[in-house]
Amino acid sequence: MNKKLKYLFACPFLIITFLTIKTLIKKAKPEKTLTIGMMSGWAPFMTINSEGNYEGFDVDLAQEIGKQLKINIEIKDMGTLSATFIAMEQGKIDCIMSGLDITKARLDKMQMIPYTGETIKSFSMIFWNKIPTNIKTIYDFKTYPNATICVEPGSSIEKFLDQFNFINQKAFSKTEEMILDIKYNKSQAALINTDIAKIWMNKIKELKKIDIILPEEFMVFGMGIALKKDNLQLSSKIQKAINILKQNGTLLKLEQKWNTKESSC
Amino acid sequence: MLNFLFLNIKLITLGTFNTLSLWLAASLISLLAGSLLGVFRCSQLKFKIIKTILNFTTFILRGIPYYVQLLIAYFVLPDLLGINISATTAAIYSLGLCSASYMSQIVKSGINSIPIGQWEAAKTLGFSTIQTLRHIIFPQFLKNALPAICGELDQLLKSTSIIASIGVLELTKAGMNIISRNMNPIPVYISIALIYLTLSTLLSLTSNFLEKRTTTW
Repeated sequence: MNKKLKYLFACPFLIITFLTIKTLIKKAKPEKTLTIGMMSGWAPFMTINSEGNYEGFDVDLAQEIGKQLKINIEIKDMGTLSATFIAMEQGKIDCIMSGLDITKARLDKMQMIPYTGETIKSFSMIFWNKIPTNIKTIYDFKTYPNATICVEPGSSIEKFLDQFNFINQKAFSKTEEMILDIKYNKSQAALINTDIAKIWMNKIKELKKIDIILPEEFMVFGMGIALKKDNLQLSSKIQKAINILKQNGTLLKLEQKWNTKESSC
Repeated sequence: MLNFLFLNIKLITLGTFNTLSLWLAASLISLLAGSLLGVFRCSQLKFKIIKTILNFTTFILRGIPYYVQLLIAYFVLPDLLGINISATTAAIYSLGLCSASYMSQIVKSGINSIPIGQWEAAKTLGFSTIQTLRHIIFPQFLKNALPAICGELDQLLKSTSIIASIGVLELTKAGMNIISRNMNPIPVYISIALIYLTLSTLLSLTSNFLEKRTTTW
């Protein structure tokens, strides 16, 4: 009993000492490493494959940028969009590559280097089984008592929905969670990117949609790599690398490989 | 329907292993810090200032939701202290300390439940406080508090799923990534739930086994 007790108390001490030392000794970051923040679970941009490795369009493109800039690439999975933005502000990551929409609001706060995607002039409002007869535009929700719409927190879609105070928002990080929510009638609809809607509508026949036309300030001008406003040197290097990858056809090959016209956040 | 499970067995195994590793490390912090906090806060020991500080600490740790503590540990503390900690380290410390505050309540109430007469008898026999705790109080306390301790550790196991929100690959995160590729959430979430249930059952069985063992002490 006494020996057991000694081991019982010694183990936690050793573990805590190890963790503390590991924390305090800063792991020296090798020179010329570009740390890129991404979010896994966003196929085809970035996901974890069945082997447990990162894969996707953004992962491949990051490696190509690394080759062009002759630097090591470190990918950090930040979990959520809001966590990714905070990490960039705090310098935990140098830039964000996560199929990010380029919007006017984001351009005011950060630099965004366009690399794929096209201008999006509408979002898709998806419903389960049928679209209510009185809903033709987003303003028709005024007549809908306690209208609740699912949206991804921190996204450009959420910013767009913020202006409609007659709509209750319900935040979900994943599209599949939004779909389950509308399926079980917990909210009336979900507002998602038009291309994501297409994918899910092909998969689930019960989904119906209406297109919500966007005013210019909410239009999405493709997808971009986000950097801090003052990080001009890195921005220019990445821009040059992207230009080369566009010219030599690498970017197009990656777009075809991963079919990136299908989703963003 | 379960085809995806076999196709992604490596990722699920990795997620399960990471969940168990995170749980184990956080459990050790919870047990150690919780025991120390609980012992110092029990009514038989008279460390007024220390007790006040520790009561305040546990009040803070219990009053703030674990998710908020996780975000503070990962984003706020590194900024304030000028240190750089990984997501995994932040998760282990915040999860461990949050659980330690609850564990301390279990330890405190467990020790307080032992009649004061036993402390007095030990003192009369010349036992020091540490000897009293080690030879008299602790064996009895363990027997009484073991179900509650195991319950807290079981709760801790399930709380590891929140760590997915800062990008640490654990079981829930593995499931989310599988869904993002196969777009079929229901069987994935059910499978993930069954794995958690299995782990929880194993913990319950271990708890039952330990309870039986402690009765023989």
